Amino acid sequence: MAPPFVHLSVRSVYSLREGAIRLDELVARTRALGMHAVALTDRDSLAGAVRFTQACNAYGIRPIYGVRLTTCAESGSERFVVTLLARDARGYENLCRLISAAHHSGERSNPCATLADVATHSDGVIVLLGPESDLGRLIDKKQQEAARVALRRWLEIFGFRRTVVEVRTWLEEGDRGRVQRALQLADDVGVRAVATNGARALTQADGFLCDVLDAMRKLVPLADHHRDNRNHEATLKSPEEMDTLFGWRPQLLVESYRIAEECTFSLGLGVIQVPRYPMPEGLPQRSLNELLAKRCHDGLDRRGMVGSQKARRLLDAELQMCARLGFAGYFLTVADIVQRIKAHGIRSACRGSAAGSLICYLMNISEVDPVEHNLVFERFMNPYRTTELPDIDLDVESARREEVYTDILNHFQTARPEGATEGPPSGGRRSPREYAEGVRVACVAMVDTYRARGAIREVGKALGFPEGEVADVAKSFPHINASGIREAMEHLPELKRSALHRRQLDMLFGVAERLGGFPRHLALHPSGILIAPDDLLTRTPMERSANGFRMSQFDKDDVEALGLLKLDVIGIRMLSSMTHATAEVKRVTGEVIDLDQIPRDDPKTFDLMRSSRTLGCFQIESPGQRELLGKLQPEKWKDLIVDISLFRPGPVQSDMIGPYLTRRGAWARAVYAHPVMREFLRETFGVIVYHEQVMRAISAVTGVDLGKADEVRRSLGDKDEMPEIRRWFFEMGRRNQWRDAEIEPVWHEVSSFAAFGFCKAHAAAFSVPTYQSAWLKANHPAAFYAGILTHEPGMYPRRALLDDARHEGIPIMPLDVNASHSRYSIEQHPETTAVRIGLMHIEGISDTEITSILEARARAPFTGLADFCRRTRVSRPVVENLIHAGGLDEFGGRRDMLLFVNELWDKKEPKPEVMQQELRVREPVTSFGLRGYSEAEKVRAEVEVTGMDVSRHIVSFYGDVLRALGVTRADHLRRQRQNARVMIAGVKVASQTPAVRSGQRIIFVTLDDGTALSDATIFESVQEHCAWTVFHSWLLVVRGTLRKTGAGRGGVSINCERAWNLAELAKLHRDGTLDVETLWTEGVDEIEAAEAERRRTRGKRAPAPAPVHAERAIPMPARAPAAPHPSAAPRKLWHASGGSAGA
Amino acid sequence: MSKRYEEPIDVEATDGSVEAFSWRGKRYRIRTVLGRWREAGGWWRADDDADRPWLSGNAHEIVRIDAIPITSGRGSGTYEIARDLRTGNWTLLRVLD
Repeated sequence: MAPPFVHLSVRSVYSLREGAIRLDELVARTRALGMHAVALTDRDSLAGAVRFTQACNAYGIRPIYGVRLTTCAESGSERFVVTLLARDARGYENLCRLISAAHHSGERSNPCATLADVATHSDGVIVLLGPESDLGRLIDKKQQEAARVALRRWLEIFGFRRTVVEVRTWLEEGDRGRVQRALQLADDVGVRAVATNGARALTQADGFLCDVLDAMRKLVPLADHHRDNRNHEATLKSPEEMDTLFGWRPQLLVESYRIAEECTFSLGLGVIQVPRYPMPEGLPQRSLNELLAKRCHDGLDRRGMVGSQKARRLLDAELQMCARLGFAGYFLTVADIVQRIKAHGIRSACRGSAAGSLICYLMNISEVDPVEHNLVFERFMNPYRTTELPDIDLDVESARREEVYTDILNHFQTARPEGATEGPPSGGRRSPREYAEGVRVACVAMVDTYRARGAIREVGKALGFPEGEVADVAKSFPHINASGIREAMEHLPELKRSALHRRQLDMLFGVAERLGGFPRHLALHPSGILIAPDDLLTRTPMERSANGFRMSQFDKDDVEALGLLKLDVIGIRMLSSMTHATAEVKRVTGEVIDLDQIPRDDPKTFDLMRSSRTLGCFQIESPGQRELLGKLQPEKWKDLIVDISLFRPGPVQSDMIGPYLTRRGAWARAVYAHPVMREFLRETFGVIVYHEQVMRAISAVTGVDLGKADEVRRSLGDKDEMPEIRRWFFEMGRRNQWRDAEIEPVWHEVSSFAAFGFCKAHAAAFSVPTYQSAWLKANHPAAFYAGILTHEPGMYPRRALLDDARHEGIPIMPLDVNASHSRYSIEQHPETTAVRIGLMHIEGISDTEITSILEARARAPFTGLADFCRRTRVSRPVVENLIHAGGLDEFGGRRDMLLFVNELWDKKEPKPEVMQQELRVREPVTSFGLRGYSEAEKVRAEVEVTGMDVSRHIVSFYGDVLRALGVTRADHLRRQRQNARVMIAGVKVASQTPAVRSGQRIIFVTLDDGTALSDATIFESVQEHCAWTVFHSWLLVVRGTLRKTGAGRGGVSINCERAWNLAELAKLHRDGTLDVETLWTEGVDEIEAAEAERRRTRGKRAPAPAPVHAERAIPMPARAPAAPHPSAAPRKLWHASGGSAGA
Repeated sequence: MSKRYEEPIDVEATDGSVEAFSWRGKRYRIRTVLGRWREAGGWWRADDDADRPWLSGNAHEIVRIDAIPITSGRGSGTYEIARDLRTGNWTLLRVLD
């Protein structure tokens, strides 16, 4: 029988690029091998601690928390690694502090703690001195005396009880000698000794992962001398295998068991930690509820609700619930944060179910009146969900988001603990006592794991394959997790053409795939902020993010499991856009607009929505949404809430919208499953749309409270639970005096539609900025466009926004160095207000250059090209860009000026003698007789320099070839019949390759031809012909068959058959060699034959593609423009998302 | 000073301890085992015809021995022999002086 053994040295995948053991596998295998406990000792990290705990709880294994800490004697001296284990809560806390100390010293990704740090934080900690420690190194070099000295130093810090010499053999050359020497020293000095296996891989079959990780970490190709291990023995060995290694001295194994027994700390999960709120004027803690109540009642007054019985009753109920759950401190804290944000003049909006809370409304956290909209607070604050804090999400202006973070992070720092002594900070490094300070707020991490492309690239490099080949292979994969590589491979015909041969590809994919799910990087979560009741450092280790924010190593899920409050502060570009718009209005007209006070029933706004002219507006600008608005015809705010709730794949596909519309249009009478439902279903004409309605229905029939009703609602989505829920529903209904015949129709409604309902509070919250943006577009359109052009909040590129402005009759004033501001601005003219193009998007321009232009102009307007060059700090390429795009048209012909630039500049440096002398250079610029830019050239220049076709829609130049081809205008597509073969054309506005469950790659592309947007879908069968063109062209012609996306819904999509580059076709047309007939007939025979075959074998038509509009998530435009490529579009002018393979 | 061979050999062993080996037709008696360790690597060179070479890792156990050729009159030498942990085959890796 092997002695009991516990692995005390284990590196999981959270030892980034070092450990290859997944946490659940670690714990599962520990149990399978008959061990009862295991330690997690990642490098400078406890990031895996929460998941480790959860896995251990699931398998009944005792977790031991530790860390492999990078340490040095003092700053700058040689580094080594020791393993520290936490015996108790204090020990765990000290591990957190030590890890934080290590990460706050020196450079960001190179953590290192000092011996002084360790000495300060040694309570409750056991140290294992293994082969990588200073001790171990000296023993390796056979310097026994020096090793003895080092050992004594550790004993001074940890004492005999907590200092342990760690021996290990990986069956490498020299291991035996090292073990002997280490034990000799330990025995001599009388120090405990234990055996570990330094596990990095689960089993030998995983050993290769460590080899690859080492090469990746060191950025070198795999070679024997680059690895940390010479073999694959660093695994989670069984007690029997450990006995084979150390059976000659069994105490070494027993010691591991003893140490495990000493480590009794367990991370408490599932208990909510409400932040403490500092009471004003030193009132005691229990008055928090009273303080909250008082502030809410003040809010009633402020909101003019004092007279409302309903409001008072609701408030009492909520306050009671809040007191019961102990959340007062939470609301008070969040209200404070919102107040601080507003005090900085930053726009914010509440998001999510919190809008259903009257407390939130009265504390000014949200701007939605839950009484008016009949909302239910139990959806947000549910007494049955005691393990999670209700989430409050705050949207803030994206441009000022970091300001908000910094403010919150600084504000919640507590004072120094008593007894801390003053002293000079140690040269840029934080002293131990500095992170002993209370830190109550921090950002949260986000674990970046290996995706297919990244894994293939890095593994390819490690395997030493040619970089170009590997890059090509990587690019063909969509943006999926690395674990999906094998499946995706089947659908990528391009791979056949790779220069890497089969065996190489097999190895590349076989290895890369195994990296799926491995963390590669701990990034800063862009919106999560942790707020703890007390010192966070007792619970979580901290790192520093790239931009210097204090960041917990735990991610959102970990933090939630720990019961800590997480506030999501999300940067929303639309909020910045709206602020810019109102600022422009104020600047130009003096009018001050308070968007939170605008009338909520403005007829112009609803008119805009009804006519679907909502491009650029928040939430309602997508083609699908505009179509839905056209059907829904909103007249009041509540219609907007319905719209937002219905626009999701569920309701669209199951066609909830139809019945809603017919009943609303009074073409059918509202039908209620039971009269009692009328009260809360009347607002939606008997159709269940909202979660709140489902909750009320359940409550009405079964008699349970709304909190319980919400719990039931949530489980309605689970098919397996349905029978049980149904049984319960009927049982409770009967007890509540309902007859089965009455219960049945209600059950039918509830069970069919619960899954498709949407949280009304959520929709109501969203409706606020949605309405505000639409109001701005309807009432201050020029300012609105200035805002969205500046901040680009939505799915459409700037040129599409500009085109919309043109359609709306807003004049666009071109680039002009004497009139343009940095951002897009408005100009008041007698009859109208215009938008002026800003300088910010000029290719290559810097902030300094913009400032110099504005400052010089403020002194006096520019009088000529030379004057401009002389008085500003603008570089030559940017001057040329400005000329090219027409910013100096006032001063002469563009070609003339471009030539003239030579006189002013000597290569890149301005000629001083020219710049000094006022009169030497003739102004205005002499004409060299060069012809001016044609319209087409002007537009091309605009696109190159600013990314927008400002003066004319670029497709309008292609009218001739489009007519010759017989292309259908986008706004005429609806008139075509189903399955008609058509051609569409336009500028590519967006392309997407979302990951599809079957692994098939489907490409969606949207085109803009100046009349409307059109959508095309490219299935696998034709991608060979189309994909490359679609990805690499900017102006496209697409031929395909027209699909109406569902009976009567009016949406249209083209099933692509072929695609061509419009510019190339135009050239052929000009040359007279365009063969229109071939373009129409190419490939048609095969396609029709394939279709006939499919019909024959399936007996029906291949299923129509799912409605494109509703399924697509609102995509995010690519921000950084790619470098201009001669054959492609001038800049990255379309947006690509969801895995645009090849783009 | 050492010379690398990597040639197949036959090894006689009882209960895990190696006693003799035959190389290039000559038989050698093993006097002492000087060291024993394991190596795994080189699987990335893909010259291994195992099905998925990274899984076996090309693992070998290496034994450094002092051995004396039985038939010839020459004295003992130091050799490194390696056993492929997947196939069980032995190779003569190096001869050291």
